[in-house]
Amino acid sequence: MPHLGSDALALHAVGEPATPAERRHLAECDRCARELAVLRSTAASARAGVGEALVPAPDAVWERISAELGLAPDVRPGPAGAASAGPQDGTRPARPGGGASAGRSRGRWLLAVAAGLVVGAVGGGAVVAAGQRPTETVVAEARLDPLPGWTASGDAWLEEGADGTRTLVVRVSRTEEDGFRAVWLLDQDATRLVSLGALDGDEGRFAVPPGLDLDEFPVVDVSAEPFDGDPAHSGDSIVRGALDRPA
Amino acid sequence: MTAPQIAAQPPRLPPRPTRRTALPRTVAHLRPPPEWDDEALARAFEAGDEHALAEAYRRWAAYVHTLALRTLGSAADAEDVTQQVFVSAWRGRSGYRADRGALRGWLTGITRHAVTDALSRRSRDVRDLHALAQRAERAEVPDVASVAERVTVVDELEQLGEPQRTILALAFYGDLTHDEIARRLDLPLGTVKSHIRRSLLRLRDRLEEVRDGAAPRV
Repeated sequence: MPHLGSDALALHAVGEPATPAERRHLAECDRCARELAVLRSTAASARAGVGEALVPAPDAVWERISAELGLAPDVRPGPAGAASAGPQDGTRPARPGGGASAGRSRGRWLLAVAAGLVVGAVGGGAVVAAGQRPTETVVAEARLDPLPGWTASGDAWLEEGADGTRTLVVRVSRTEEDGFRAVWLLDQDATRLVSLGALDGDEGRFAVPPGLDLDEFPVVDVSAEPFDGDPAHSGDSIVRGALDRPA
Repeated sequence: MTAPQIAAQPPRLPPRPTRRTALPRTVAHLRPPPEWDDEALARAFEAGDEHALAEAYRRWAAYVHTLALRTLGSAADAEDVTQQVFVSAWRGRSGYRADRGALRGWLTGITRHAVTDALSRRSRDVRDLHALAQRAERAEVPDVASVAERVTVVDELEQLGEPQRTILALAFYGDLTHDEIARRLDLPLGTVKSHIRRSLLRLRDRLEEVRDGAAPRV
């Protein structure tokens, strides 16, 4: 018989009986037997952890760390208790705490975001990658990170030709959306936006209109758009990232 | 004077520029740190963003503190170790490489070393006997390892959402089969099976991370 599936191995590891055929296979197959042994020991560790809970560190510990390292006073851990979500299982990150305090902390963060973008926005003095590209120069780049609910990622860069024409190149990994994907440039508050067009496939090149000030619209956004005839942004952004000068 | 050599036309779709370094601050901060995934947090930490230290503390201080508390048995010592772990992690962040492993695993390794050091210091304090200290250290290390595993499991179970947590609880502690769990929770069989598998694999990966995390030292 073929190797045991991972569902079957997991069920045996938590104590469900194997069929006779599975038992025969396990007796002969080192690979499946090893995997089962690892999962069994995982399950045993899990049983040993029952009834315990984590004990949060007192607030004073952070104060001591902050004092010892001389951190800025606004650098503080948010409310504890929100689970972190790793990218490993594609779940969306949990929101911190919920309720009023989370809203307040988000507000503070948006202020910090706005301030950071003003400092980090694309400046006039382009950094040229020496000798790399004779006719087009990458003058800004962005990492595109997924918004909650999406697992895609990507990047974007702005090329400037010798004649001053600007082209935004956007690459985003595949997603399953109903409709199509559209590329936008947003301002730092994500309240005003310029449409650059539909993204066909994983990569697209978009002419940036001459005269468009990228200091004003530094954020690259790729959204999922339904075929509903409404030209406005759907509000459902897949990835987003701010253009920044190359390091 | 020779004519300048004409460079070949670059391909229309050039490869991704390779000069990029750490995650730019601005990108990381488009969303508040609690919404960063672990990878984004690790890159911001590596890049020296103090907000990443605060966020790492928010996510993992309870885990570090509990590990120290369960091994050292003293609230004051556990607080000292927690402080020491985050301070050393920050000062030693140049020794951390986001592309080589999880930040949490690295913190776990630092915690285990800090705990082991605290234990051997304590045994030296108690008796100024060199041999005793050595023996104590040898005896304590496996204990730290097994406590680390237990605390890791507790942490991981706390982070599981629903219905995974209930499904695992019924499978582990209620000794129900997946059939019975599916009926009781009114969920499709396949869903229950895949939750058991995914939760168990997550736990396995976390435990491997803890074992691997025993290596680094700041």
